[in-house]
Amino acid sequence: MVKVLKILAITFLVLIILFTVYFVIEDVLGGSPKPVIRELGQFYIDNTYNVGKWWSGSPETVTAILWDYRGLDTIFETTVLYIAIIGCMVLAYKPLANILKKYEKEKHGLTLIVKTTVKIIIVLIAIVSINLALRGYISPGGGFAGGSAYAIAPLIIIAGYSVYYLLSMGYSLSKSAILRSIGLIILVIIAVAPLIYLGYILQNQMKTYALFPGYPVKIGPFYIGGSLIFMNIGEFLIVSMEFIMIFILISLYMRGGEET
Amino acid sequence: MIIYPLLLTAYLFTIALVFTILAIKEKDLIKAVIYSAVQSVAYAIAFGVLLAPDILLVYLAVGLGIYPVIILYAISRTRRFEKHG
Amino acid sequence: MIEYYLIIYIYAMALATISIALYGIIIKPNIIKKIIALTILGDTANVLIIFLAYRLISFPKPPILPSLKPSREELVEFMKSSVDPLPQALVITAIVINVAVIAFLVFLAIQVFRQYHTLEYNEIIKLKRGEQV
Repeated sequence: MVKVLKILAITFLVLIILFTVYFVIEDVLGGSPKPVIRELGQFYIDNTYNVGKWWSGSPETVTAILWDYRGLDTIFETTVLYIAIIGCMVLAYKPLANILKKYEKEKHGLTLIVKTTVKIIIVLIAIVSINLALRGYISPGGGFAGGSAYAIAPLIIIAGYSVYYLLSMGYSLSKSAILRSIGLIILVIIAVAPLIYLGYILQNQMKTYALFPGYPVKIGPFYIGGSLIFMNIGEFLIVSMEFIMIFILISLYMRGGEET
Repeated sequence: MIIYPLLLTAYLFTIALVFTILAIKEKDLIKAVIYSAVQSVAYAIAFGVLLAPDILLVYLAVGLGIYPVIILYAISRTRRFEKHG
Repeated sequence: MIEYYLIIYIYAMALATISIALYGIIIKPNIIKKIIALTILGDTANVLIIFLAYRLISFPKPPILPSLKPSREELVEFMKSSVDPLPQALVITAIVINVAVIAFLVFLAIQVFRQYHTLEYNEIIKLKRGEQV
């Protein structure tokens, strides 16, 4: 009986997928990748560095779409990430006051070779990730790539030394939460500030129907892409601190029935 | 000229399919995680061939550095081998 | 002509991967195996979207303008030969949302193990009804 049900389920799944494929590819999209891309993408490419009515201040089209043309999507995605981390903290939170005394240098951690390699690599990871985040408006990267790459550094410290060493280094859950909130405050201030001049939320450059003169594109000899650099800094803080909180919580979340 | 990126993408997707089948059939959960990580490498190269550099940087850090580690933490707190299924 | 067959082959491979990942989610009883199959499903869907956003000409370029003071010819060249940037922006947010959801699911799986001491779905149903395993 169970085998018949399994075979029926698999056939049903296969039929659904075949029909979806046919309708999506042949009717909705009119074919596969084509030599002419669709009009909305062409609009973003035509206008992202073409000084005029609709330009955003950066030659990098994907960052401009994420923070200027479609900024509300990114703000909602940040909200979803925030709520998921709150859910994790509800399940696995424990006060860290008594844990710091447990670090013994010889018992925890891997061999000396691994520890020396970790020491070299975390400096490189920190430099590369901050470079990726700060130059998101000129070269590929941005807040998401920089934040995800930065969170790898405490991860290999947890693997090579131990989680107690990471906590005694100064990382803790409350400090990460404070830095994440600072990132969110930067995002909200840069997004809501044009309302004072009767512009609209998340406005970047000057538009004909709003009175806000736009964020500066150049400050002295330095090229700043309008509001995009501050958004990237805020998103870097948010994403990296959230991933660090996930790693600390899951490495202290024991099997049950054990003391910590 | 047009077919070279398409040939590379076809090769990478075939490798991904082979490692997906191996990952789902495996009973030792640590080997299943490693097969899934190899499939992530194939997809990361596919993102590079299809000219999306922003996504490649995010996907390398997430798919190769966060997913296998979190699932390995879960396996070490629970059982390693899967029973009948 | 041969490009058409290659494109159909690529779609077939991607959809086969999606259906095998769906099979893994529905039929395998171990919770961690279901989570691994869920990550495979999300990643394959993202790659399929980026494949649809490709431009099928001889030498396409990524959607980044390579100079800060472009001349008129460079702009026109860029407009005619770059790939579609809109799906790339949507896929970046989709990847990060997937990470948050999977991290939460892993916490839930460890919590289930702490309560029932097993991770197989059939045994959990029997324990909830009150029978022995």
